[in-house]
Amino acid sequence: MKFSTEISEELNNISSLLAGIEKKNIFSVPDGYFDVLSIGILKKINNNAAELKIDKLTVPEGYFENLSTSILSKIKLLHDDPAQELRALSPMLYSIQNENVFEVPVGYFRNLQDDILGKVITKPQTKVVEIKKRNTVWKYAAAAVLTGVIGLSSLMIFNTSPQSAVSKTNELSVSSSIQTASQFKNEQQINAAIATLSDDEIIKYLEKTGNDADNEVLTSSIDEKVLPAQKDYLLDEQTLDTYLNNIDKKGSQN
Amino acid sequence: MSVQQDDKELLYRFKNADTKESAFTAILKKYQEKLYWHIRRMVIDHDDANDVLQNMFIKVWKGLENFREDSQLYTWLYRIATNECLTFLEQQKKRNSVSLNDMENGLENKLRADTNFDANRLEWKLQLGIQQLPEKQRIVFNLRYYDEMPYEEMSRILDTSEGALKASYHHAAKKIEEFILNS
Repeated sequence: MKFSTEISEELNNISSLLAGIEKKNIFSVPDGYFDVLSIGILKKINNNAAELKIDKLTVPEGYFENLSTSILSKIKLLHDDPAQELRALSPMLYSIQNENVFEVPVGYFRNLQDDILGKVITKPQTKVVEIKKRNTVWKYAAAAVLTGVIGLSSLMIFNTSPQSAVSKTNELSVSSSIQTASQFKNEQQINAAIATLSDDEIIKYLEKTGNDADNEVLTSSIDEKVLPAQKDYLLDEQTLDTYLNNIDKKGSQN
Repeated sequence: MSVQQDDKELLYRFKNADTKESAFTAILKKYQEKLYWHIRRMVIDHDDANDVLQNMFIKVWKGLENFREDSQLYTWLYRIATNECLTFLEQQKKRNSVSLNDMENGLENKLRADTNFDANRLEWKLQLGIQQLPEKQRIVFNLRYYDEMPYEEMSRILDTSEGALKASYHHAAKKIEEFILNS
């Protein structure tokens, strides 16, 4: 084995000793190694590829032992047909099995859900402001005014002298109204007396006399342009009350 | 047809599924000896060289499809072979939990264990001297001395400048000379 000229000169310049050593291959190789090397490498490559495939094809433990049982149970399910079973047992029963003898009211199932839900779900109690309660308040006011009117009227009727009669009547009406008013010892007696009055009588009286205090309350508590919020209807009885008063007032003015 | 033309044709055939195996066999037969000796001179033992060589070609089989041909085929093959050698030697070092010097002694011992070993013969002394070199310097010397590889190609394989490679070869030759003179 000889160096190329360039490399030979280079080595000679570095080390003449090395340049003088014959380039011999001291290593030995098994006979025929290179002849079969490519076959061995290709075999390895193919084995690696095959191993990769095999590694992926794993089977759970006990798979094949249980396979037949699993397949048979699935077959049974497929062939588990109750209708066919009945047909085999009793053709007569099989012929009448789907006839329904019981009747159901028309629309029964359509309404059933709502009926049940209505019984099951308890709705929350909402505040109910009774109109009559409001009238009761008015009745108290009407009673007080009426008593005063009756008393004054009595005074005017029973007083003889023009001035003295008037004054006497006034005195008498005042006293009689006071006397009349003194008859009512409690709320129940007042209620009973007012209950004898009709709603129309009360309304007419109120239209004539009015109630400055109530009017003041109405105008101060409500905004005629804006309705109260929905939550206020439910939470604030006073707000609902006041709003209803406003509606009544508008209705009476019309 | 030039070597490069042959390699281009082999690469083309390798990328065709029908001719992939035959092209690979052709590449194997073309480069197996050169690459074997390159590896053998690094790892010394034949069985070790065989393992490294086969692992190297399995990697070639897997990677040749994506070979960008920005370098010549044999440059690419040499690079893979060199890296496989260095990886093997590193693994041997870790497996034996030995230092670099001990590793070199290990290779020296393998040389001495060869049935044909003769310490008086210059060629065996040369080999013993080569084993005294650091791994990369050993590769540089072997590629230049045994394979007569141009520095330009060596630069592409080892990813080192030509100047550094020249310097490395120079120092390697001097060290081996000194070893032989002193042995």
